Amino acid sequence: MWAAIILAATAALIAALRPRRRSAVCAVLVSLGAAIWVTWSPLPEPSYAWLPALHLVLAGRNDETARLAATVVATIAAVVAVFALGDPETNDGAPRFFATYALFVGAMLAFVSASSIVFAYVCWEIMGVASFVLIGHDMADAAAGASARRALTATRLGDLSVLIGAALFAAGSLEAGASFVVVGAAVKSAQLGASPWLVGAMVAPTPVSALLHSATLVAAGPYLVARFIAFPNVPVVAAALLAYAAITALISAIFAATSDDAKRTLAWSSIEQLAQAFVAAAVGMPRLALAVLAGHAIAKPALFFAAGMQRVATGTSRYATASRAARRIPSLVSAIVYGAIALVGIPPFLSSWALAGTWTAAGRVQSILLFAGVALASLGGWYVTRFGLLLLPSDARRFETRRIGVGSSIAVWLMIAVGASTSLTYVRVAIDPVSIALPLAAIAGAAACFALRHTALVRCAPLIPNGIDDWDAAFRRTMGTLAGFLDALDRGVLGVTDRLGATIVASGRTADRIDRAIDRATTSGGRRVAADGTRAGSLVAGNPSLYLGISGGIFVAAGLAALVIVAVRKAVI
Amino acid sequence: LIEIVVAILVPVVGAAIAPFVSPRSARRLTILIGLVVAALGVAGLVAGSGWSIDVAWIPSLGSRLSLGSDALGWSLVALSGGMTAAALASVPLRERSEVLDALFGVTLAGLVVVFLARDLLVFYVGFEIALVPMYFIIAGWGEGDRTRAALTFFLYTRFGSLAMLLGFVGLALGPGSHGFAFNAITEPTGIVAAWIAGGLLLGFAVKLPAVPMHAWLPLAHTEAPTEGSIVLASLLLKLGGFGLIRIALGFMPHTLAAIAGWIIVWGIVSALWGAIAAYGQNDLKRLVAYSSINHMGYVLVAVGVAAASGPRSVTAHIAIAGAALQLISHGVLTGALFAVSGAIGERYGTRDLVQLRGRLRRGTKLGWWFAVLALGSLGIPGLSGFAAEIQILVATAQVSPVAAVFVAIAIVVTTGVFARAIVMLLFGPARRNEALGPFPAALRLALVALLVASAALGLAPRLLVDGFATIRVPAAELVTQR
Repeated sequence: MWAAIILAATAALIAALRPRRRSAVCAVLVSLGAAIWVTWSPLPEPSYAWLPALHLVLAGRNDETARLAATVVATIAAVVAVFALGDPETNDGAPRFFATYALFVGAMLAFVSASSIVFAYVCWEIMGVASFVLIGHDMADAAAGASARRALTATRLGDLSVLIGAALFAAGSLEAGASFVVVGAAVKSAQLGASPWLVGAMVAPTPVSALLHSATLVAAGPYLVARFIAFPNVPVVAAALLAYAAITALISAIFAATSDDAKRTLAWSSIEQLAQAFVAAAVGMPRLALAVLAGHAIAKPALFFAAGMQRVATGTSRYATASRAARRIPSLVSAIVYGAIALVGIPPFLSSWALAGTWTAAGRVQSILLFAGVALASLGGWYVTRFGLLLLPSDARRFETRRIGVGSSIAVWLMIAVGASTSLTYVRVAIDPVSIALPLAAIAGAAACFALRHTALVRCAPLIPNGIDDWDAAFRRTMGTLAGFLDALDRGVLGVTDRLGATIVASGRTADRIDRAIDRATTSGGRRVAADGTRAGSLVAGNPSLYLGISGGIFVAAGLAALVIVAVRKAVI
Repeated sequence: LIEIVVAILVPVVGAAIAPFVSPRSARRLTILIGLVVAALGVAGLVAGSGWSIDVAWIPSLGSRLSLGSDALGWSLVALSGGMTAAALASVPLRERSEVLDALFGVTLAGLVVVFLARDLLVFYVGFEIALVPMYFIIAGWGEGDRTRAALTFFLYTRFGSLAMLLGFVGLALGPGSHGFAFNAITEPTGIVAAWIAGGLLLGFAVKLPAVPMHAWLPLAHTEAPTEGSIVLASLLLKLGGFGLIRIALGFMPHTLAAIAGWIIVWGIVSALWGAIAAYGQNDLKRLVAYSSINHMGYVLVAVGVAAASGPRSVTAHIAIAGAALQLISHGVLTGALFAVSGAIGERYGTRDLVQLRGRLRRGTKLGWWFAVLALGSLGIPGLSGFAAEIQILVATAQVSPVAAVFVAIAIVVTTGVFARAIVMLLFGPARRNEALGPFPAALRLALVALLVASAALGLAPRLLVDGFATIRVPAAELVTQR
């Protein structure tokens, strides 16, 4: 909680002072360092009863899981902030970018230490809005706005599902509550059926993708279910999630293997990795789920850095636009090699034993899942190799390197250092069939991809067309049509009141005419009286202030009379 | 005693003085009056459950001039004063604006009477006093098709009031009741109860407004002057929600419990209708107007949830507190959104989103203000809308998960509505800076004040929610337990 407060204060500071980009990054780095420090310090957790009736108490549960997760998040956020320093995409509107960035990281740090689902939901909402601003950072680009809007709407659906789940938990229905929470988490993590928002969000600046769409925002889904749902108690939900996550992983790995865009490959790969974390959570291995997430978090940003550098240099993240010269940028090559090895689970990196453990456990539940694990490993090896081959082609012409800032290169080396040190700290040596089979499958996939690098199999067209970005077109059209229909209906209904009003006015005129006629007929001096009446009427009509003055006077008199009555009553009683 | 008399008399006296002084003085006077009433409302919230007036009025009808309220009434009094001041501060002076100000003063007095009433006839009188000036405001100072808008408003309001009055009479004459005073009323049963509940629900649904009695609202909001839109949305719509909680739920909890499922469905239809219709709007004011229907739909859902779960259950407390907070939050945020929309319309000569596309990113802060307020309105944590909607959604989920799913869908569509508006206002290729009038200091001050109020309620909802936990249901307890 203290870490979140520090980051939120930094965000407010950056928003208020609007510093230059370098100062903003420094502020973010300092506050991230402070955040890691307070996470491990024995400071008592603050607690704030926001809405006690809903058990919505802002309080952290700073156990070891939360501390480790917070450290990973803060470290990756720091590395990505360094990358952002060299990324021209964040140059305009830097104060807005880094203030939102700090706010986002603060919400994520609060999320990982949240003590209840409702509190976690609140943090998630804040992250969602922050990601809306971050994805839409390039406001001159209308496409960025559309992507930001879609991301906000889609993730909000997930948020509210989680909230309903939390409410059902509070009401005591375990199965239903778990279902809603799992659905919400799956939507937030862009699992199959909800994936397009994440793929479309790849228009965001690279630092946003590297942080939000690999290590934090989307990773929060598996983290939430692993931390708050005891799957052994809800076997039906666990079985459904297991099947769903396994299918999601396989299909998104295939999409990653056929994408024609570097950042989209990585988006599908993120979906696949998160699905594996869901598998671990569903088989009742929450710690393995967190290990899968951590392994993903230390590997994927490096690949995003590579894709981002390529996009900066060539203006697009499509493959086959870069050139041979790219091979001369050591940080770019290193980022790809490190990221690829660390991601697919080659020892000694964290993913290796996390994925092996996950699929071992899944195999105990349903032995066919072991094959899914092996298939995923070889697909992973295939698509990271393809990513590297297509990003560093040998047959293109031109590559401008001058626009890539030195911060980006430093960030790559930092990322590798972080990944290496994390993996070496937590290294586990396991000699069992799965732990050996998975890396071998990955290497086999990589070798196959390399061997077939000139064939159509590697250079195939994407299975998922890029038009999927506009996935909500039909939805928006339906909404627009429906809205037009409702609007027309509402306007049409007013015809009734229009008719009624016209009738009333007309009958009033008729009554008036009849009255005047009677008046003229019965009164000898009728003509003069009628004229006087008209004059008085026009006086009031032409001078509303007189009319209002009279009305006001009556009101005052009434009020005074009421006062007098009250006073008299008091005196009498 | 004296506090209530002051709260009612100050706007009355102000309204009587305003037409005879200069427009500028009238404006200042009315803003000051609004602030005084707001201060009294806050004071009443803190200390006022003991403040009351209770004198015989029409003994033959069993009606007493009885005023005094709990947290619900006093917080709405504070809202009324504050929003009247904010509405008048956020717009420039118009022709004959001293008369306009007087009309707002009269409305304010009526609102105070309604929110503090402990007698159905007093409630009714206040209701009428509050509503009638809006006809003149729209007809006299509106834009475009103002006569038609005013007449539509008037007719809908008349029919709503009539249904409501019939319901009141039924309540007061029903078996067991012996008058219009709150503590003289007992809940009727059988077919009589159904008719009375129908009248009350119909009357309040027109004001709320709930589908299908809502068609007057978008028209009235678009044609009214901006300050009229603000008061209409922020305060007059509250009459419906307040009546539902105080009178309908307060006196007929068992009757409503019998039809609670239908009320929830009604609220969901209303919320979805408002959200979907808002999705297709390009006129900013019309968009915000439809989002009001959506927001008030949640209040109807909450009333149904409270009725379904029994008025003394924990769920009902959460639902009622959520609905009450929604009334306040909507008053603050939607009022501010109307102020911004009106200001955008004045500066750019259009409120059409297509024509405004991308133009608000540079040159004025109004687009950013709209974005922040819209985010608050769609319910991001930190502003008041979130604290209200989370309570309604949680209470709904505890009564019916299916209903909660539909409420969530309505919230998501609202998110889409406001996200679309924000993106259309702020995103797009850069243009040259347009020469625009300055951002008036008074408007800025009003917006800052409203945002601070919303943030205070969003960050510390217990400021109000703790008080809302003691909302009197049945309302007769307002009189018996001081």
